[in-house]
Amino acid sequence: MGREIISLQAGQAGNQIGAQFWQKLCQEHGISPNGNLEDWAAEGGQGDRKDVFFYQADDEHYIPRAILIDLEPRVINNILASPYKGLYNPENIYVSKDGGGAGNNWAQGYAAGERVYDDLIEMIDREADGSDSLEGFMLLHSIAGGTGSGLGSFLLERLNDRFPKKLIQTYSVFPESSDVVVQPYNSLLAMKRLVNNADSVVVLDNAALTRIAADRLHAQNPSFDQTNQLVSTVMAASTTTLRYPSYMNNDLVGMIASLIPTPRCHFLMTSYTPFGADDVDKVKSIRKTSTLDVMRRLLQPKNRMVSTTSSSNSCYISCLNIISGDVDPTDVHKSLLRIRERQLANFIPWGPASIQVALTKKKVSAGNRVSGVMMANHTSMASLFKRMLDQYDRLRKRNAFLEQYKKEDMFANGLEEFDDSRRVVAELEEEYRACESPDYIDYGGD
Amino acid sequence: MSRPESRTSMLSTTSRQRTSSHPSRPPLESLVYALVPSLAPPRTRTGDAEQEKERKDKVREVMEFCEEIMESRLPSSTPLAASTLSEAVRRLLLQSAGSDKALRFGGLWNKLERGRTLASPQPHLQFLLALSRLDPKNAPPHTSSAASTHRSGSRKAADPTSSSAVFPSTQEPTASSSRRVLEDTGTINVSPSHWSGKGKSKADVLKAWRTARSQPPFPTHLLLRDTLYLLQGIDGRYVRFAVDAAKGSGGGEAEEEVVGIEIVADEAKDGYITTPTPTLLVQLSEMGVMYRRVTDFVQSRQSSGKGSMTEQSLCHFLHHELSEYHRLLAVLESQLSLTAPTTPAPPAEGALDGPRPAEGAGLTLMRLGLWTEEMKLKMRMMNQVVDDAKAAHGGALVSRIHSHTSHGDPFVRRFMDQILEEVSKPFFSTLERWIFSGELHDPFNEFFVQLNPEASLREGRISPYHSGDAGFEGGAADVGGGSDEAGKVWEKKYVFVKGMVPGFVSEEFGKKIFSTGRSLNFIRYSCQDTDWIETQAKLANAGQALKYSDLAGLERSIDDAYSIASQRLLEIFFDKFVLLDHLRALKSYLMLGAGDFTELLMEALAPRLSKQAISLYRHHLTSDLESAIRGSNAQYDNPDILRRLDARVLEYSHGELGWDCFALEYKVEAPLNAVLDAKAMAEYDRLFHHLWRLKRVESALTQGWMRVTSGSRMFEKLPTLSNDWHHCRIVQAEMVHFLRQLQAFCQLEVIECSWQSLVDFTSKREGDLDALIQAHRTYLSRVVRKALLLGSKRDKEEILLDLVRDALDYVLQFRDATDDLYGWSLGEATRLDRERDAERPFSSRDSADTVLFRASTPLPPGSTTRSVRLPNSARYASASAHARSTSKIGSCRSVT
Repeated sequence: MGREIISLQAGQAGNQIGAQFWQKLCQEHGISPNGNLEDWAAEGGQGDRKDVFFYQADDEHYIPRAILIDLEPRVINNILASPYKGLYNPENIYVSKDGGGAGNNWAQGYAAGERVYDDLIEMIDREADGSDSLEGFMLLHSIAGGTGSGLGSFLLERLNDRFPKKLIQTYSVFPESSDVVVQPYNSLLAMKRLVNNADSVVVLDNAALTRIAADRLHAQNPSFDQTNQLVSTVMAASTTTLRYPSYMNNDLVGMIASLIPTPRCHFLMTSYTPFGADDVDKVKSIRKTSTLDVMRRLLQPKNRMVSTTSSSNSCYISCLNIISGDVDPTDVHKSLLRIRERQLANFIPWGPASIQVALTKKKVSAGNRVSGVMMANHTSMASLFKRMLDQYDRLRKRNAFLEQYKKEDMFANGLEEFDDSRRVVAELEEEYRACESPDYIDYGGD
Repeated sequence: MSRPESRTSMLSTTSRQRTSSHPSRPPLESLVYALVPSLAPPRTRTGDAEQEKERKDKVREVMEFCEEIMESRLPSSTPLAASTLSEAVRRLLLQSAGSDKALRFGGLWNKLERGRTLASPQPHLQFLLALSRLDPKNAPPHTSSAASTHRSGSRKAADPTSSSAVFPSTQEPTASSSRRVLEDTGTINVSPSHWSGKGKSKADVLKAWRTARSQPPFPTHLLLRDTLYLLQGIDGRYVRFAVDAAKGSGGGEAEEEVVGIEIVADEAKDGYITTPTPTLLVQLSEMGVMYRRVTDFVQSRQSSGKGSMTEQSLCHFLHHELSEYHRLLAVLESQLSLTAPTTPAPPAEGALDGPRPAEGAGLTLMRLGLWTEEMKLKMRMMNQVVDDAKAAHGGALVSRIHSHTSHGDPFVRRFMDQILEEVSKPFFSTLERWIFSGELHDPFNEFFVQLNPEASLREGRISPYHSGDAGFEGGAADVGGGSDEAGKVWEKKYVFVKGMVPGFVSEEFGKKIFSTGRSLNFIRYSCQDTDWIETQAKLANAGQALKYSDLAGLERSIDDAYSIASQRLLEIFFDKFVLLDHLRALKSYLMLGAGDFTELLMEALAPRLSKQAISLYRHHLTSDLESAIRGSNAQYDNPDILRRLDARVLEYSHGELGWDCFALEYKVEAPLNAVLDAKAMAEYDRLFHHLWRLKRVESALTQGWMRVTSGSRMFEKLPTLSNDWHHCRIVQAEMVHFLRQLQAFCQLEVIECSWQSLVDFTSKREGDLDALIQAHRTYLSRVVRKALLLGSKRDKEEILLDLVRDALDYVLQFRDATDDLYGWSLGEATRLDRERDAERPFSSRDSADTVLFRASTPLPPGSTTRSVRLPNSARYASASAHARSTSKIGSCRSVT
């Protein structure tokens, strides 16, 4: 037993995604909505490892290692009204008593975090003590709003202090420009914590999610449910190697170690293809896919779940493809050769890099023979931060909407925190840009 | 063959022809009566010098002869075409009488044809032509009358008459030679008795002359009697076998080589022997010689009792044939007694004179030749077979005999088939037992499958499969000893002897037979009894009597038996002994495919293995193994598979770490070790060692990453070191990348791809156990060769592997170096913190300066140089390792 991962889902988006994620994991592992094993999964020997994300209660039913946190009850109530209500440990659900939410204000969320810290840390400690060898935490949140962003940031800081040797990975939904007026503030402030306190951030961009959902579903305005299903699919896919152990990539740290060479550049982009009917509702049917098709599509920018702008210098720092399904291993080799021949992917000039491939034994639903997820560290991520900085600068220049922030303690004495966060993000952008040059070897040197 | 027959019938049984369809015509007869007397006198040999009466007699004789001819049917009864006929007559006349007569004949013939004096002139002319050819003096060279053939025959036999003649040896009798024998005998037989003046040939004349000179011919019945003796291989009184003393002296009585016959009769006393007679005798006596050889063979084999089964059945057959022969001789002897009455009166006119049907029963040398001809052929073939049997035995003998069966002569073919049918019986009974019960019953090593002569395997019957709960407490000792047998039994218990494969079984087919029996034998002795019973039940339908005459059926039943046996064996291996599960287990555990198990094991073992090997205890390892199994998905695996897993400490030398001498082991017993033999397990060991090492370095690097990349963020406050850390991380990234590429290569491109092809093969379930073993070997050697990056050249085999090992060592060294750096940085950070804390109470500008000053001054020399240098040196080391490793990756690719 070991390598457990505790999921923390904060805020509206985090809990919605989390609900979908757990639903998906339950389907894959054959766990029914009430936590019991389905008949087909009961005899064991599925080759899977449920204990990474679940633990077993005294009556043998499976409980997710998940902590659900929100400052307003709506989403969590929905979850508790769903068929999966019996799945979660009720002790692991925290809903703020006043139920007022964070008002889409990072500072409010952060402050609320400090107020409820004791309650939260009690849950986290309990979960951590329940694991044999905790590998790390997984935070699901959006960085645009108040709870996910503010309270999430607070959690990141505290987790880092409290569990310095554990990994922290986040699945962070980055906002579309129109979501919330103050989202540039919220994002920037959250970003500082993502840079400093997380080991790995999987960036999911609402704009890209909407685009992909629209593309796949032919729907002009895909619902949040549908985009969340995209996210949960990616999450499930990128954790398959942890749940279905094989020769490599069986632990989070191994995977991250190969993707993240330097500590700050830990923002990963993902692609997934093809989305099947069981991944997302009402998806149109997929044509037959070969390994090469999958691997090639994974590299296509339009399938990335982040909207970044690539320049001619943009390159992959690292890239890991997790392919599941009925794959002939020889095809993988051939596909890699083809991709290299056609130079479909550029890599950093300052060190060796190449596409790594992991095969998983997970069964793939009928219809899609092969599916794949890519996790990549790409320098075009800089453009995302640039955009974020630009949005922030535009808002900040007018000093708009700052009143709400100044109400909270952190900003009562000044707005240095904004400046500091801006500095951190700017440095990050700079470092990503520097990664495109061979001089990166001596980056930050004298 | 038709000509000699018709000739003999003409000479001996003309009477039969009288009723034939050739009616004599009055015009012809009158012509004969008119012409013959006028022709006769001047042409008779006795001529004018003789008395008139005698001349008259001769005329009468000629007339009678003519009458006889007219009444008989001529052999060349096919009428020639009119034009060819007249042409032939003209040519004859041209030769004998000159051109004017020929011209005259032409004119006369034209008139005759046109004038229609005769209804059909051609037969008449043909008769006349034939008549003219009968003329002894004027005979054209190409006419083949009895006299002329006799002359040529005697000329041919001229030289052997001296004393002995040489056999035509074992040559096939050609049509012409046998015909000549018959002709000769015919003439000779006719002459003594028939000499009354009718149709005298030169031989007759000579005979008459000799008789007149009181030189009577040698009594035929004596010769015949001696001939019969010769036919039985016994020396006669007058004729005996000539033995080549020079050759015969060499060894023993059996070695005597008969080179011919010699006639020891006193010709002066008993009468002369006509010159062709010895030739005839030689030919006849050949059979006697062959008879002697065959009997010798049969007797030697039967008396010694050492003959193999094939030979025994051959003897049986020969015996049977020889009794046939004896019967024939008995008949001949009874004929002889008819021929030669007890009264030695030479003119046995009554017996043989006149072509009466009743006389056909008598015996003459010619008839002897004729009647024994078929037997002679058989005898020759038997003789050949006997020769073969001396040179070869068992399957090789069958093969040799088989080579004779492809003979153009149907008689030879049939006879050889008979021999083969008989001779191959023991072969087929052995074959039957082999392919239907997997037993080799072959006391004389005649079969083409033989027990391996290599000693110690003869008793190689492995102990019956001992049931599962026996456990493996014995440890390493019993691994090397007993449990290795199944593989050897399968591989070495029997050998295929190519030379003994009978000719009618192709080598490929022979291999099938070999494999069938081997499979059955293996099922019988190496798997459990129940398997055998089931197998037998399946085979029951396939079994049917195998024999030579039904080769198609043989092929069918062997094919059936082969597929049943090999299918059954594969079934046993796959279904009962779950071979594929074992292979999968080897892949999961020894090739580290089960990642969760491997990681748990490594996690548990790492503290122990980092110590000196001497501190390792097996019970610690096994308990760690146990908990790794229980903690991972391995717990769901078959307990029978799990109990085979064992942790072992390899032999170590002083100073080695536990890492170097730990081995995971998978134990297999009979019959599984037919596939997973000791050699294969050694290869698995080797693989495990390599992959385990990669895994160990990987886990070290992952820990390193936690330190270097994740954990070192706290040192960002130490600007002097940030650059070093950055270098450190980049170098580490390279190492991670190298290692992961290497691992992915081993796992994906080597193990998984090879496994795929192995699974493809096994899912087909084709071929026999050999094919399975081969497939597994191919799989394993492919994995080993590629995963260990072995080169093709033997001496440079491990060059790449050594480089990889070096690189891995650098990685581990680098890990130690980064730990040092981490420790030093930590110390430095606390020191700075403490200083900062110490500064806090003071707010004066001076103190701030001192802090700044202190922070920027070089650190205490000893510690700084060491710590700063370490990462550098590590980097260089790893950089060079990387340079090599990239080249290696390149060559890994090229290897694949």
